[in-house]
Amino acid sequence: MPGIKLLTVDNEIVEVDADTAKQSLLLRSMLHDLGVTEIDDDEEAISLPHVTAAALRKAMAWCAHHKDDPPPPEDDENARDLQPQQLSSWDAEFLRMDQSALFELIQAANYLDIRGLLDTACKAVADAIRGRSPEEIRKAFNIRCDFTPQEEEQVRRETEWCEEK
Amino acid sequence: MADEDEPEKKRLKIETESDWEHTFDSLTPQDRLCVLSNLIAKCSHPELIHLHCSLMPRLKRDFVSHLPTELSLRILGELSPRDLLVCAQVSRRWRLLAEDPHLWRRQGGKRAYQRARQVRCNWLRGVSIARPVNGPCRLPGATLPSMLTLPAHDNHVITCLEMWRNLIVSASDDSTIRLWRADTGQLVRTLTGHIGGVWSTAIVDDLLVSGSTDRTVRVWCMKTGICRHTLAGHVSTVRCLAGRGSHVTSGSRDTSLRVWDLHTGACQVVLHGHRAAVRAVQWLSDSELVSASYDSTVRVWCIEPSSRGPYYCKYVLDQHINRVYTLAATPQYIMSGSLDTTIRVWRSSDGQLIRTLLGHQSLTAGMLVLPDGRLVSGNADTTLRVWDLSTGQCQHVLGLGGQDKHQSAITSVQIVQDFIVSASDDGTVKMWSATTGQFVRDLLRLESAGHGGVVWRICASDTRLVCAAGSRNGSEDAKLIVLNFDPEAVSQAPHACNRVGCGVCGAGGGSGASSSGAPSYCCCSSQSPGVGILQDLIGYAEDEAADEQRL
Repeated sequence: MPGIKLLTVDNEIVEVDADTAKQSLLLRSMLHDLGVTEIDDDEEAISLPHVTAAALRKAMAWCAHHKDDPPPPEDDENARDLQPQQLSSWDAEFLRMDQSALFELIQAANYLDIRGLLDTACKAVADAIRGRSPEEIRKAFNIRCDFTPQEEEQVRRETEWCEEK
Repeated sequence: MADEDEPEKKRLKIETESDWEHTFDSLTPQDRLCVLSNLIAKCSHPELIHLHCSLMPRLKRDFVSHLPTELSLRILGELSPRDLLVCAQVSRRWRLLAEDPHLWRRQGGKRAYQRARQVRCNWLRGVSIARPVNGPCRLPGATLPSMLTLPAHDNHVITCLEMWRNLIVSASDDSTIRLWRADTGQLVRTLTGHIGGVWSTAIVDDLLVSGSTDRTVRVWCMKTGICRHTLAGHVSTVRCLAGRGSHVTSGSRDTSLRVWDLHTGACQVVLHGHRAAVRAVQWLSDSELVSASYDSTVRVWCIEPSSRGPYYCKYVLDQHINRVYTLAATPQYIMSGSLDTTIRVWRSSDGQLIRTLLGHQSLTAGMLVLPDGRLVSGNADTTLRVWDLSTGQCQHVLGLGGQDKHQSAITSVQIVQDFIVSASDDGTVKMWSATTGQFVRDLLRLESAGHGGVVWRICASDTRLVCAAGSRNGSEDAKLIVLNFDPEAVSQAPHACNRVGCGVCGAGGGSGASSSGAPSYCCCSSQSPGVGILQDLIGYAEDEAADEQRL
């Protein structure tokens, strides 16, 4: 399998399989533009100024697992069903990582333009929000409540009727 | 000396720490990791817990606030409206994002969603007259009264209730029909012409059809109040009506059914076969009808002209052993409720009896099919039951025991969203969850409840409940009670009809009557299934006697 070299923001050179890397639309177009087809010791590594080595490895591992997936459908507002789709158990397990790592992974997926991974990771974050109270959400993501007491009271009043019980 | 020792020690400690930090800073990344690992290995259990507690929050990330906006919105886009409202309470940044109009497009905007939720919550715990209220009752910020009490029909029994756009239609055994504005309660007009009590109504487009003990069917234009046709032919009380397209069918105590053309007033076909009064009728399709009779049978008729004549009786469903009072139908099944206490489920395609629903102790006064296909039955035994038609199992019994049960016969049943609303001879209207079968609350409790007060009939839309109430013993005057659950409901746009004499018709959008297209899914309200049963047992006997004499 032909490989390519990528230089990450933390100055590591990561070698990845070219076919796997092509799930990243960014890398696909870069490889196309550069005409890179196989690993070459003299070839300079492609620099990825926004991606850490850890996130890159994770992203590539996801791509390797999903390389035979059908391409994700075009983003269509109407096609998005109302019922949240469950993550596959493999994806759920794969995304079980600390929030900093997941944060970096989402940024990497966004920069590298790996739509399937970005979609999956965003769903995982939404899963962590769903069904919780405001205080539980703050705790889950270490968020400081910056409302003034008056604002907080106003927000609470606006939304309290949405609770059935 | 101790005073001097203390600062010295602290300084020493700080210096030591600084040394460490300095040394740590100068290490290579690999060495730093190595040092940390060694340190952790030396830590006691409480120290590890301290480490864990100080590390966990630092590893957390506020995705929604710190990711690029389009990614934050993508995450929030996965959430339900309810979750979005919770997110808006987290922090200022979260609120800004959670209120993004794009996220609310599916709900028609956040306002529309909030209003729908508000209406739902008003059903759950807003306006009610479970306790007597003095003076006009308004919800905070409401432009309209949330409750209206309208004395009606001079203390005669109110037999039928319909809602059409902004109108409430009430019919009575005082032989009149009255049209009221639903928002203000104003009496718009009184339709007179019948010379006997009105016992059945149906709405077909903008026409109101009424059936009376005077043996006629009358067709009224609701906008003008003009009686378009007086349809004569039946030789006894017209007890049930069902409209479809430009036709209405009437069932009578004379044992026949007639199908009329609403525009010409012509009687197109007379269906003979029942051997006793016809009590309920419903359309199954443009050419098929089902009727229920006191002769204990249910009949399915085909009214398409064929070699067998202008009509024929397709099936006679004859396993009931007493009068059949109520009908409901889905594309698959026909359900019939009888005085023999059973509800029978017949297959529409071949008329075969496929289930007998056992459990009720008395007569089923009303049946409705829930949107998910389950059947709700309200019975004179004071309970309601929810049935799974595919298995015939009774899933819930509403009001079997406890203080929330109805104390007397159920007279009328309605479905609002996922709630079942039931009216009773005990003078109350109760609300139940169709999902769990749990009692939710009393929507209405007459002051005379328990002392003769009766709720004869109810009619509900998503935002309104109309109750026809009175009493058997004069303890409560006949009246309509209107509960409005939409605080923002404003009277509909002034009607566009400029014709002189056109009453307030509540013109404007809306496809018109719910019963006009004959949603084959609900036990058509036009059959007045609830009220009649009590009257049959109480006051109606007099009419029958009079009727009998006339025959």
